[in-house]
Amino acid sequence: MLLYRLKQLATSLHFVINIGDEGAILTLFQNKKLAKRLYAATANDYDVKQFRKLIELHPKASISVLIDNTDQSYLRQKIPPVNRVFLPRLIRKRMRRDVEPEDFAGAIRLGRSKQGRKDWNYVFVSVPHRPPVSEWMAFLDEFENPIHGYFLLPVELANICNHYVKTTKKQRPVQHHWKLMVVHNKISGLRQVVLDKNKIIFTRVTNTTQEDIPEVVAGEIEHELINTIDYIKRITGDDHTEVSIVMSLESSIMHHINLPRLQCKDIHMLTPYQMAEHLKIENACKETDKFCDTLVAAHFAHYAHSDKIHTKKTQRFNQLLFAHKAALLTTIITTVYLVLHVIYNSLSMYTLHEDINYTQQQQEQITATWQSESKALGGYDIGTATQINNIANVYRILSSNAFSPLNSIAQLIPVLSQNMKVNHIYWTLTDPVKKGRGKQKKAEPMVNLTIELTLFNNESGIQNIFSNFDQFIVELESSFKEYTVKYSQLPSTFTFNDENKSIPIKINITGPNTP
Amino acid sequence: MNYDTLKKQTQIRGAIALVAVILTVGVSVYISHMQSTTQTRLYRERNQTIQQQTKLQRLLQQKKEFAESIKLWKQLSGDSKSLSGLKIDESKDVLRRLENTYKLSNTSIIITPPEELYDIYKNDTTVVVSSKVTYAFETITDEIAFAFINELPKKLPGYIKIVSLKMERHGELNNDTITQLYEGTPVGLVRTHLVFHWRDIKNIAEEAELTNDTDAL
Repeated sequence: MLLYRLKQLATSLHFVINIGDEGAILTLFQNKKLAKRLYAATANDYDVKQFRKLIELHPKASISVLIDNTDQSYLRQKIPPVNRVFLPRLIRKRMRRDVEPEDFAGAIRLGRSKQGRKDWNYVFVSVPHRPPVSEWMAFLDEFENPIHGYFLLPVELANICNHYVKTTKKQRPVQHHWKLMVVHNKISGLRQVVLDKNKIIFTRVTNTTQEDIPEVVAGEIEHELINTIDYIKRITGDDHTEVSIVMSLESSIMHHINLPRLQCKDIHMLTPYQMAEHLKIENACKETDKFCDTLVAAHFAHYAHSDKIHTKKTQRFNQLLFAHKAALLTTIITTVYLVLHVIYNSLSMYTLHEDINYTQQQQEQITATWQSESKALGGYDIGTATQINNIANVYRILSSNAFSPLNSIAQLIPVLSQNMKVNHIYWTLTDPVKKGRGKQKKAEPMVNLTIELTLFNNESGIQNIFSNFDQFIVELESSFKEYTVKYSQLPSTFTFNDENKSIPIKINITGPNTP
Repeated sequence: MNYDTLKKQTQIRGAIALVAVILTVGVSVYISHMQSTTQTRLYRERNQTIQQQTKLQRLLQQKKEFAESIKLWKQLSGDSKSLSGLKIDESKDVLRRLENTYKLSNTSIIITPPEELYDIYKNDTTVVVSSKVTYAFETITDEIAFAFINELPKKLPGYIKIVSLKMERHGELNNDTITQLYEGTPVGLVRTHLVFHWRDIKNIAEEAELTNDTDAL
């Protein structure tokens, strides 16, 4: 059971229903391959019994509707050269004028005029909301299956024609830009689509009454094609307009078409099966198939879809469907985001709590160290210990008395001799630390000692004065090794009368000198 | 699917999406708040750890110095421990006693108002206050002056740093001066002019009781 459900989830199922005046064909595509096809002549309960059964079997499969009825209007319109942004609004406005709100409407862009004011060229398509289309819409409303959209079968045929032109380019190229695609459908009849430069211009459908007689059908086709070619020539205003014809018909009908009667040189004729093979759509048709309905449906399911057409109701339905999907997407995205957000943040919170725990452990260790270390302070708390340290530091600074005048005097006294008498001492200390805020320039204190003394002769003779003075200076310099010693010289001349006189000497000592 | 069914389903899905969005926003805001609170707590804890580490470092530093400091502290006299700054009134009596002891004459003293010093003289708990003192006196001999200068720092409360000393002999010991001494008249033969910074430590720490060790953390 689980395997079956998984298989179902992995399988893409898609219904395409072709609706025409002569009934409807329901095709089921499994992974883009035709799985089932059913025909119903009308939308009444008896005819759609098989349809209902098949759709109810696959309630999740989306349904696309290809409308192939007679009541289709294709009208060429020129839109003023406005900015591309404003085009949809202008188109809607123009359509509202021409189409009833309950009718299907759409616009196919043909491109822009290369001359004049460069108008936008569009084909406005519309389908009236009336039976059989309205009946089939009511039928489809009964199911839970999502409606993918309503499309026009001729537009899809134009896509097939363009696809054929593209794929046959190398083998046998389609020569003219006016092209006529002709197919024979069970639900509508003979469908012609006229393209100019790969864009649909108009379409026609003819009910083939005697479909079992190939000669008759071929004759009808010849007649219709000649009329269409004439019409093309009329609208182009050129009798020599060449048209390429691409036909997908049953082989028996093809054999009975009188090609020279069409007066057309570029004709491509393929059976529905050959066309499916050429377009590489597997299982789209059987070799015996007479009609192209399933081929168009298969091409639609296989390749890119044409532009949707809408009534006001389907437009609203489509918008609601968009909201329906957006709500689901929002739920999924927010839920995924929420889950990831919660996981990421849970991990982040876990890391944060781990960090907090680690930090708290560190704090506990520090507290333990603090308690053990603070015991070494001998009962004093840290504040008191800090204060004692501070006081001790300041005390050491204040009590250091390296530069006392008594020290200098103590150094001087041993040097002085008996015949010397100190009259004047002047000692100063230049302290580099000054009062006031801010950083002070680091400098050593400087001592300046000035001594004025008198040297007496003492009756020892002049010769001794010189030798005593020299001896004194040597001892003084020895005592004040780290200082600069300057002194006044003895008088330059002596007389014998000066023997008992005193000689004044001035000494200046500064330092200590920094190394 | 018809319009009404789709509308009902869309409404349910829309409501679920709205709840999911509200829940996501709510949870996101709550988680962001929780994360912000936890982050702040972590920063606070880390900050506290850094502060504790700094204090511990200070403690370890204090511990190193403390062994020496406590010895010094215990040696300090009661007066030194009072940390009340310069004791000017007390110093007057000290000087008077010294003047009498050393027979100082013609004394004059000028003291500047105490000022607080900065840099190495100031810390969290104490500051050094300083006054500049200019003291002039006369003595009979220079030896007496030196003896006085030597004694001054020991007797004067606080600490002194001499910045200038000027001594000048302006007379000789003779019969007149000896007679004057016998008569008890002060005799000054050596004039001394002493300039010094008189300093003492002042406590600036708040008087609040210091906390115990663990609370300090």
